[in-house]
This record gives sequence, structure tokens and C-alpha cells, in this order.
Amino acid sequence: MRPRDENERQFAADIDRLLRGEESLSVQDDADYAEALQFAQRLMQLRDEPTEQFAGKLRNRLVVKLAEQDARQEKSVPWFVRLFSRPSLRLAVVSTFMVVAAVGLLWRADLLAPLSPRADEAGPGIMTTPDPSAPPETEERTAAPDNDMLTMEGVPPAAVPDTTLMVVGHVPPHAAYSEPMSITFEFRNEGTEPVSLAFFPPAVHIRDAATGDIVYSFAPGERSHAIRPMEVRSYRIDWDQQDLQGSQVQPGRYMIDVAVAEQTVADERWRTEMMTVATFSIETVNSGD
Amino acid sequence: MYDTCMPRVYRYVSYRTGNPSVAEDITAEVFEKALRHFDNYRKEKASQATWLMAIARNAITDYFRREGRVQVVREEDAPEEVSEVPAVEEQMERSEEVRQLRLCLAGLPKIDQDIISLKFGAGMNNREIARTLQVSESNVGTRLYRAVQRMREAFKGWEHETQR
Repeated sequence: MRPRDENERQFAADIDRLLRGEESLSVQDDADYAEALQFAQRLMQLRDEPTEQFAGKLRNRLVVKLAEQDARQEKSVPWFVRLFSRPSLRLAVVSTFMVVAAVGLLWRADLLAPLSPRADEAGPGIMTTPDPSAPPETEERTAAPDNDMLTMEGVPPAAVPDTTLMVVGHVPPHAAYSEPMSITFEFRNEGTEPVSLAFFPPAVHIRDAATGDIVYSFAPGERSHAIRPMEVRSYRIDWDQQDLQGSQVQPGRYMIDVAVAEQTVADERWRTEMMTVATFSIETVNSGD
Repeated sequence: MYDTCMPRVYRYVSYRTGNPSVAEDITAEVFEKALRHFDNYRKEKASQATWLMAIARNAITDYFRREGRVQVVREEDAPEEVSEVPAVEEQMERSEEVRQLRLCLAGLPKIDQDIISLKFGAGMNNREIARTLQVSESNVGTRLYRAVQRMREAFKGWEHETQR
């Protein structure tokens, strides 16, 4: 018989081998030890595997919870922190600041002088303020929005931060009370690299715009989907205007949120973004008029 | 993390509780808790598997506390009637054997039940088990061997009884 502590060490190593599906390395000269190993093999048979159905359901549940958690955290962070927490925006702000600083330095060093008349050359009579009678250019731009970039409901396409993915929701701006309605989503890759989406089609939440409460949720799918550069992927969901308890929702304004689970090219980590892509209202139809 | 660790967590919980539907509930609870507290996870302190198993262990303890009982093997797991058909009879014997093995496991101290479940259920090595249970690796090795021997002795007793 071997010493007990040697048996213990050998036993753990043999079990690990058996668990990996390999043969045990021990020489079967110790009947007691061999019996213990045989019994261990019986213990392995007690192992139970999770069903695929459970694994899928739990994964979906976690994706929705992760998106909700991200959305809650996003709302609780001040706007300036959010701005600087996104690498692309941080880069944009820093670059703009550096360009402005560089221009300022060049200006002070008089290196930009050839581009505009110097004050002493221009003479005292030149007005530098704009003509007040001229229409302000910027106001015209804001007054006439770019209609191509708006959905029917006035919500601009939502860009997933730090990526080239745009998500647009199409829904009739005014839906009749208790009438089934369709919502169409478009995922547009405006970049030059493919974008990978997981859990496609994504989870969709319909929220009461007044309270922010989720009235109905569509669970995410389980497929993965790569969207090639400039490709548009769309899909449609139908909603019977019933809430999670199966009751007709009240007339009022609603928002549509989409939880996009997407893989970033930079760090190859999956992450989710919850974004509002459309709003609409449910209205009662006055048949008497 | 989910794809790698979920089956291991489930197997550990299922091994320890002996009930698939309870194992599903507890596994879901573990991952929801992990999601909520992921900011607290420090990779320099523990691997993700070790961290999740520690959460699972607490969830199992809470479950038994809630239920107000120590782990027992449910009567409904035992065969209810004896059939004359050999295949069914074999299946009954097998299920009775499983019930006895679970009884033997339930008779061990809690820490040994955890070691057996983490080893045979989750398939962890002794180092991972030691980190999860915060004991030394050599202690895990000793306890594992002795726990298996104790279970074997108890199981042998039952086998002799049934053979008589």
C-alpha cells in the first residue's frame, strides 16, 4: 500500500484526468485505491447538464437586463462625464481644442497675416461686424432640418456610440387605439468594416413616454448577424397594443427602445447599447365626427 | 464568460441540490447577481469561474436556509413501483442507485459536499476549489479523498443490504 498523502495527491490527479475523458495513470496495485477510483467514476455519473432551452432563455434574460442596467447607468451619469467616457467623442473634443490652440498660436505669431489684411494695412474705416440686415445663416439651417435624416416621427437615426452602426425605427406617428401596428427597424452600417450583431433580432422595449415605464418587451433572438459596409438590414415586428399583462395600453405617447448587442472592432468585446429609435402616439378615433 | 462558466455553475448547483429545476433557478440567480455586481469583480483576486462559484455557493446556502432544511433526497426521486420489464427494472435500479449516492453525499459535512460537487459537478481542479472555498490546496486533496472513501463505505453498506 502507498502512503495516504501520496494516494490523496494521485487521486486528485487521476480524477482530473478522468474528468477530461482521459485514462487514469495509476498502476492498479492497490485494490483499495482502485476501488476508490471506480467509485469516483460512479460519482461522475451524477453530473447533470443544463438544457439548451434553459441556456438560451437565461442568455436572453441577461442581455435584456444588461441593456437595462446600461441604460440606467447612462442616465445617472452627468452629460460631460458621458461625453468624455466615449473615446471617439473625447478624441474629437481634444482634437478640436488642439486645432483651435494651434490656430491661436499661429495667429499670435502673425503667421496667418497673409490670409487677411493686417489691421494697420486695412486702415481705420473697415467694419468687421456683419451686416445686421443680412439673414443669419445658422438660424436658417436649424429652421429647415434635413428631412432625409429623420424618421417619420421626428426621432433622428440613432448611432451606436463609437461605431458606424445606425439604427432607424419606422412606425406610424399616430396609431389608432386597439389597432394592431407594425414597427420596422433598419440597421445600417455606414462604415468600411463589417459590424457583428448578436442576439438578432434585438430586444425591443415599448415605454410609456410620460412615466418611462416599459409596457411591453419583445425578447431578443439568438442569431448572430454580420452587417457588411453600407448594407442595410431591416426587420419588422407586430404589436397588438397589449401590455405585459395582456391588457390594452392606454392612449398616449410611447417610445421604442432597441437593445443592440454588438461587437466592437477595437477590443472584440461584446457590449450592448439601449437606444430610443422612435416615438409614436396611440389615439382614440372619434367615429361620431 | 456566460458560455464558458454557465454549464459549470449549473453542474455544481445541480450536483449539490440534486434538483434540476432548483438548479436552473439558482444558476439564473447567480448570473443576475454577477451582472449587477460585476463592478466589484477583481480579476487579480480570483478568476471569473472562482468568483461565480463563490456566488453560487452562497446562493445554495441561502436556498437551504430559505427552505428551512438540510439537503434531503426527495421521495419522488425513488422508484414508485417495480416493473417486470427488465429495461424498466434496470432503470429503476439505476435511479435507486442515484438516490443512494445522493443520500451518501447529503450525509457528508457541508464543506465536503461542496468539494465533491465542485470536483465532480463543475470539474474544477484542486487549486480552483481551494480558492473558491478559501482553504489550502492540500486540504482540498485530503478532504476529497476522505469524502470519497466515506461515501464509498456508506454506499457499500446499502449495496450489501439490497443484495441480501
